[in-house]
Amino acid sequence: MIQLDHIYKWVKSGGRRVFLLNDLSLHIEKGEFLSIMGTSGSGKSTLLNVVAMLDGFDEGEYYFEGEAIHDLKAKKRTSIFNENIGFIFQAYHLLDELTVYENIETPLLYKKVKSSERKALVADILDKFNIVGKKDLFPHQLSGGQQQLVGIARALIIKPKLILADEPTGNLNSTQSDEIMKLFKELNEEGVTIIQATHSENNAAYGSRTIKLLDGSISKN
Amino acid sequence: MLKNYFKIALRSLGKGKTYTTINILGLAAGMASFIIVLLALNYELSYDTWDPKLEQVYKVSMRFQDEIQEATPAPLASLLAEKHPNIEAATSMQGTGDYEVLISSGQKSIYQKGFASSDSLFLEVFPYQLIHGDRATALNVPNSVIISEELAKTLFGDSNPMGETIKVFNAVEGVVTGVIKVPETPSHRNVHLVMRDPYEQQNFFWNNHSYDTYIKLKEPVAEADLEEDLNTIYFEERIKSDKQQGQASGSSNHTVLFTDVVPNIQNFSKYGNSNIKTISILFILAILLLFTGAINFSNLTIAKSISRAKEVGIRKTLGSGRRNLIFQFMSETALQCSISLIIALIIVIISLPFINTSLNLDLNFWGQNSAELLLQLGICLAVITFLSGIYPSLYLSRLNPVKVLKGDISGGKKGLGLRNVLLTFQFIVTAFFIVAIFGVNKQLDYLQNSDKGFVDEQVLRIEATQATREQGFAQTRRSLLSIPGVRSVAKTTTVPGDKIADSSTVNFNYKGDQIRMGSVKVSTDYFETLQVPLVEGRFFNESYADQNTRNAIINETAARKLNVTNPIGETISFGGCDEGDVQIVGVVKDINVHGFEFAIKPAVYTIENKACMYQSGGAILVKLKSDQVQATITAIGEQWKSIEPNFPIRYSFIDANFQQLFSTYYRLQKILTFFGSIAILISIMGLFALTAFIIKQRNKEIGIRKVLGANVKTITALIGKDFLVLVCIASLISIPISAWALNKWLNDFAYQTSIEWWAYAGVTIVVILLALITVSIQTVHAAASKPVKSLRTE
Ligand SMILES: Nc1ncnc2c1ncn2[C@@H]1O[C@H](COP(=O)(O)OP(=O)(O)O)[C@@H](O)[C@H]1O
Ligand SMILES: [Mg+2]
Repeated sequence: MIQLDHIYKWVKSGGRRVFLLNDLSLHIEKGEFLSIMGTSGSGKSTLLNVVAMLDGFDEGEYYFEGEAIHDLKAKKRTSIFNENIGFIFQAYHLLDELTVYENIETPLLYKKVKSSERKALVADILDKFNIVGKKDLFPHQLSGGQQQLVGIARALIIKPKLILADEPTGNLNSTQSDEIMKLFKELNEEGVTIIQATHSENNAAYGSRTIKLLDGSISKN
Repeated sequence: MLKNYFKIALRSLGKGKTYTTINILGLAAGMASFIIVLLALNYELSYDTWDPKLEQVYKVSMRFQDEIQEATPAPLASLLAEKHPNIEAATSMQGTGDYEVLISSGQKSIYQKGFASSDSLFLEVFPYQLIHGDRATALNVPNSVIISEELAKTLFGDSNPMGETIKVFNAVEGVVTGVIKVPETPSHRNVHLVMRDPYEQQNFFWNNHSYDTYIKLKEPVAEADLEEDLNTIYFEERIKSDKQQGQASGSSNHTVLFTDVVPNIQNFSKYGNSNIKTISILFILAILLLFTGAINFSNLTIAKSISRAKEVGIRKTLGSGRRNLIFQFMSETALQCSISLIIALIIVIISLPFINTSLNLDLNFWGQNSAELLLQLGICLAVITFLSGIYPSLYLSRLNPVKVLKGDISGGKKGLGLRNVLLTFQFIVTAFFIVAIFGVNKQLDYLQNSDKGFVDEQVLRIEATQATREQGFAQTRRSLLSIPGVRSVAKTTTVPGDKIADSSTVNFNYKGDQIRMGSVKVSTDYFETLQVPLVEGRFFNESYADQNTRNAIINETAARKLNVTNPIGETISFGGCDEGDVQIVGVVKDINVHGFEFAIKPAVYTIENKACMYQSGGAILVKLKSDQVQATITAIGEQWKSIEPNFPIRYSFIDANFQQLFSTYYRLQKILTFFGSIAILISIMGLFALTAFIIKQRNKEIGIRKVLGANVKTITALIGKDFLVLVCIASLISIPISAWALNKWLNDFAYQTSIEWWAYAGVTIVVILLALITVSIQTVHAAASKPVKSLRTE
């Protein structure tokens, strides 16, 4: 599904290149549940952003389902992202001015899904995540765990083939964290490919494969 | 999608209530001013557009070198109509719109504007719609009269006016043969009563230059071609036969004709001035105001973009493209601008009656051209939305989601350059208005307090018929002087303070030279009545020479123009004929007759028309004693019934007339003060909101600095320094611009106040102080709050 070949990404600092990703190659099969581990600053987020096409890279090749991402225009990349990928943040990043319902609905608006269909999809997912009662609340009225549930629901609403989660449980306690991981496991069993970045061995254990990053390179596969 | 955007827009509006309110109100104020000027501009441009056929109606006037002569010879119209194949009809008519004429019918008598007399072809040329009567024949009968629907209503109520008799000026009778509909747009010549000229036959000769000539074309032609054709005809028929051996028709030392198409006469006449210049300037100023309002928008949106950046990042990760985001931010701006527009419209509709009365205008929001107005407002809304929203939208939509979600908004500094430029522009406009208000006030003050050269208080100006002014004057004077409150009575052909006072000059012969000076006919007591000081010689007395145009008194300017050390005893004579010399017996101080726009003209005062020219017109002047003015006026009114039994008295005070003369300037002063206040308000509100916002954003920094020992002063300096520098720059840029504009305006006056450098320095200081106070209110507050609080909220 995803093929990264010799990816380099750097920033210039005092005339020198500081490598954020350093000759990184990675192959991910459809249906995998990959955990990326590594110390803080090892490049996990950078890698996820590159895979999500939210961020560019300086050298190397990236194929997504056979499509050469490094050759595509921004607009086409946005549309591939829109079609295939759901992104989950450590800091939830819900839109403060929108209710739970509206937050979840937003990606569908960008995909120009019809109103009746939108309603059905959002109702479905609210039900599945057991947050029907919270649909009219604003983010600040929810607990951290609940906010992350909304974040996940929002990522899943477009029925993505791939979920990218950047330390999704970093701000949650262990019970909440386990619940989210179980949810990921279920989704994975339904056929969704998942890549998560995490600090915790415990969380990584939910995955089918774990890689370890160090200074922008894979140190253990 | 739109719904979603508007929801977000409304909620984020609700969140930053103060800023949003300031934004919306500021823009609404700018828009309201703009709409009012727009209405005025539309009104002005609507002149004589009441019928498309007017595009083919031209006024023909004459020009001899630099002198414009709108009054043309009586037979000109018929000559042109006869000789030019493309002229469908031509009419010659008399009578100006503004002069009030006594009109009576049965017992009812009223003074009415819009009187005209014409030949039978008036309705062939002007496409007035007739409610009653037949266009082809209405003016055929001698003494037939057509009146406006409005006048018909006043005179006859709801009964049919056709065939009724109307008396004009208590002298000429006419029979109503037609009623015309009052046009929907204003006209350069508002007509309420047109009478078939009763003296048409006896006045039909070429030397009678007192008719206005209008022609109507069959087919539209280029105006230059038309003028050339008309001039060819005029040259062939008139000039050649006059001079016998004619020169080329292009030659400049004979009279030429020129045309103005009727819809252009009011504002784009070939010669002469028009309102459109003032209105265009006001329009530009109103656009500037509108921009200052829009700038607040842009600036606050840029300032806010830091908090909007996160939203942009999230939306991008949820699949939003740039275009979606631009659209979102633009529709947010559009929403706010629309709210402003609605508020502005409410302000306009509510305030229009007050504006109309205080500025003496006749603006109407629900006029017949509302479709056009709507279109203009739509364009205005679109432009303002675009201007205030485009930069923030482009800037925000370009943000990199990965960076902003990490909290890196270093890109936020990028907006600063533009923000500074906009802020500077705003204060340039503000400083400009302050200078303009100051300058105009100073000039008007100067005019108010300038010496007119005579005493204009308690001088009554009484309108009188020619008979009363000429043959009946001695009798009238005696009769008025019998009233105890009357000090003196005089007459003059050039009444000081009149809107259309005679300002023409004629040639006088002096020592073989021709000298152009104004000729004023007065009565013996004229100088006493106006308390004009004598400089040399003597005033008029009852001597034969004085009373029969053999002696003259001149003013100081005339004395200078004659260029002789002692003008007393010098003789001059009226140019163009040989009816004897006039001896100068006195020199009086210059008096200001036409207001201060014009330099005082050399004047030759004589009594009676016993040498060459015949001058008439003007009014009777009565100087009242200072006690019991009201009682005296009542007594004069009573007396007038025996002097002119058929004409109710019409009087005004000369000092009030002078005020009237300045009314356009007072109007300008009011508008400028109004615009200026709004400009100041908008820019101050904008700066206020901007500082508030920046303080909020730098709350934590301020907290930390305070923990480290910063005090109120250093914090004010920290926040306010940049703004104050900008305001200083703005003042420095603004001053030369406004000084230039002010000088240009002052150049319209022959008598100008001087604006010293310290005035400009003062304005700069005022602007800087305003800005400083605005910034300080906020920073002092921020600096006084406990640092712990601001640090904890993070
Ligand atoms: N735009 C950037 N400029 C400079 N350094 C960056 C930038 N983005 C990330 N880094 C650095 O790259 C390294 C990897 O960051 P990140 O991918 O966020 O690590 P992780 O998510 O594993 O904690 C860090 O040392 C970080 O400081
Ligand atoms: Mg990270």
